[in-house]
Amino acid sequence: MNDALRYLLWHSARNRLRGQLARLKRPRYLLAVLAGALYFGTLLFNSQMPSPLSGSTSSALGQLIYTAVIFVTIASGWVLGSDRPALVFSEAEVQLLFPAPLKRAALVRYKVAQAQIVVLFSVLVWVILLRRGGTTLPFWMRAISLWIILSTMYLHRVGASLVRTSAVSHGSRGVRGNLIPIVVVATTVLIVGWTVVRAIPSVRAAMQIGEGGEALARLTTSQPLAAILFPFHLLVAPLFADSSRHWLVAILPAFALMALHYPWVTHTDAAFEEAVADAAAKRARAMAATRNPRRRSVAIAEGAVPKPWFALAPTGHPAIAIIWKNVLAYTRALRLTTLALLVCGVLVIGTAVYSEVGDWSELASIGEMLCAIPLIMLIILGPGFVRADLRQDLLQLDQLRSYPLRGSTIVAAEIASTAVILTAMQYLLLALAASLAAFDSHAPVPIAPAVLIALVALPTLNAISLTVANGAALLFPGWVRLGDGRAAGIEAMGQNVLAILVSLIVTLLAMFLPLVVATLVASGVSAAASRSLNAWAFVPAAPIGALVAFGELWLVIKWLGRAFARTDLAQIEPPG
Amino acid sequence: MIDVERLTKSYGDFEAVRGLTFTVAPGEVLGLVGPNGAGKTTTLRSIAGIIVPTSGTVRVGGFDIATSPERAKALLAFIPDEPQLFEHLTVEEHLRFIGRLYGVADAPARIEPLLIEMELLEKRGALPAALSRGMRQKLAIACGLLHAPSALLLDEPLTGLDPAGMRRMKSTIAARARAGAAVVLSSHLLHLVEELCTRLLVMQRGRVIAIGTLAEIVAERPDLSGRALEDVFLALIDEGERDDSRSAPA
Repeated sequence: MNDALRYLLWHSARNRLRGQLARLKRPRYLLAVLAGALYFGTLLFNSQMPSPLSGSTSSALGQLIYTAVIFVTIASGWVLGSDRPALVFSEAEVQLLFPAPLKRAALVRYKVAQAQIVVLFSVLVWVILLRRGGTTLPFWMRAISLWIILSTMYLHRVGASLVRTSAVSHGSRGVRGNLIPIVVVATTVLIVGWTVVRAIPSVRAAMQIGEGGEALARLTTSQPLAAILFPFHLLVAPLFADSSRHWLVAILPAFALMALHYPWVTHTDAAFEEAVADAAAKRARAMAATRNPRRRSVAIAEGAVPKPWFALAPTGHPAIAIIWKNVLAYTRALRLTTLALLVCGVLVIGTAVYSEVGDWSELASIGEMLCAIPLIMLIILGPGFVRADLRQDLLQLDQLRSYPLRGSTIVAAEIASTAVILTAMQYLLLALAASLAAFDSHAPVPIAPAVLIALVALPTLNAISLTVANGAALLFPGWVRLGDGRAAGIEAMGQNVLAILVSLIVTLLAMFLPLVVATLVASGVSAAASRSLNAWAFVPAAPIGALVAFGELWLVIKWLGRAFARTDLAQIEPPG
Repeated sequence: MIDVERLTKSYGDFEAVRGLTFTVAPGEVLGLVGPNGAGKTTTLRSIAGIIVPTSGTVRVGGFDIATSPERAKALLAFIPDEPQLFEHLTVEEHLRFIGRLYGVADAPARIEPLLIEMELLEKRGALPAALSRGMRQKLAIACGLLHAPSALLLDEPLTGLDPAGMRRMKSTIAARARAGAAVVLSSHLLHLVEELCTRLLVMQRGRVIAIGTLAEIVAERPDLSGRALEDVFLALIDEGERDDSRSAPA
């Protein structure tokens, strides 16, 4: 790498670390770090303590899951990825490096090297979280294995985005120039998709007799999947080696695979500068707003403006205006093409399965599963991904604070904004699943009480987890990424998992009292009716548990309202 | 309308504003001038309730910004030098949003005249990204004026405006003051300050070095008599620098 770029990389990293260490002078940050260090330190050194993610890698099925996840991640990067390059440059880098006499490949190498900081942090997090993943390998071997997996995935994501950028910016010439990777990926995705869809009925049948894992393993070891998944299998093999000797044998092909990506990425002749510069300018405006409130501006958005979903009456509670604004902003920022692709995918899968099975009940059962999976993901991951709240609006803190509203009202309205969006999406999936259950003669749970409980529990759960997420943004603005600048990509997965994990732990703690109260009420109802405790007993208990939860939230939001008035803008974006 | 008393704002050991005291009466335009880092924006943001002062009090319309922030904020508008807009709301939606926040019942009737005044009528359906820098500034100003504030805080209000926009902005400020609004205006453009402001407050390193009408300020410094505001300003700043260096520990 160029000497100047090496200097920039080293000094930026050093200064950033200094800034982060300086933040620990604040007791709030210090306490959080100590608590985190205690938890993860115990996790790392105490073999008796269960790891939240251990066990998922303890079998051949785990290896299969890893392979599938990596395949899906890489394929979705090609199919659903953005047309902007995955290389993220700051405004300063764009202004100073782009006009400098540097080759494009040098800029790519610089960014790849810079990403290693995030990759290495992710490796550390994953090694701790997966420390007992059914392997006897020492710490450093697992770390190297994970480093190769994450680095390869990062390089592939960058390479894929450069190919896409090249195709978009050069039009048909760009497509022709990258014809080989485009054709290979398209063919691969189609073959895998078609093979998996055709196999769904047989895998489901095997799952019903408890042989789902074996059926999946058979599927992936049969052609053509075995051939397609071979490179992915090579990549994950070192992590699952059962001895140091096997690890040494497995690590070489995995390393070679990673090494092959490097020249591909650094020599892809994609003119990414314009797209990168646009993205950097947008990000810089948002970030400038956090560092210096006098330098605010807006982001670039193009295209026709859709009408609001509902009109905002001129009078009424002002907090509704904030919810209206946030819901409108979220729906306008949605990528409709991605949604359309997902809906098309579900329809294709449904049609293919029906053509194989020809049984409505079976199809309904699969449909329920297809609704349940995103519903569960929305419950767990939704609060991290839908961010139409303070995590966006803290960038406009001056504006929010100038409004004639209490801090707690603004915080509550911001939390309610994302809660409304998430709950609406969850209700939609719930309604779909419940409708399909009407056709399913073997529904796994009693539908009516489950739906009634979910109608109360989902918004409550969303409100709790979003209060945690927004509270974190307010109390630790230096740690929470604000605006659209959320850490993306597999290389940042470690820090995202860490954030989700911490959020889940705090959410579970907050849910403890409401759950205890709801269970006591349900037990009382069952005892009064002289029946055993069942789902129906929780129907009247759920609203009471929700009331307790909202009581807790009311107190927390009052407190956060005071924090809102005192949040220091200088903490929002770390210096350097 | 605006009463600031012994306002101090510190960031750690650094005092951005030191014991500032002044009042602005209805209809008055106070010009806040000073070199970069003098504490002008910190002062405006403290008055607007955006940052919490370390000590001192700020009252707007008799309401203390610390103890009755909602009532005080309902009376004022803060217009920063860089427009703060929501990227997914159109021009008109911004105004509807602000109308609801400030409880402006006749907001729909006020919006169109305001858009005409700011020359944004044709852009009412556009997102901020489709607006030029000057148009975004005009939209931020329109948002500030929608609820007819009694106190107007303007930080470099002419930034990004074209000559015609500047002229219109100046007449808007003057009209609001004539209508009884108390205006505090921070600017480096001394000709603007001279043209619009009824009084001046010169700040340096967080403290007041002069306050009053230009005539009152010059009366205390006969050597500056007959000189332009720019010369007066530079002389005051220069004197302030010398005072600071004399009082600094050796």
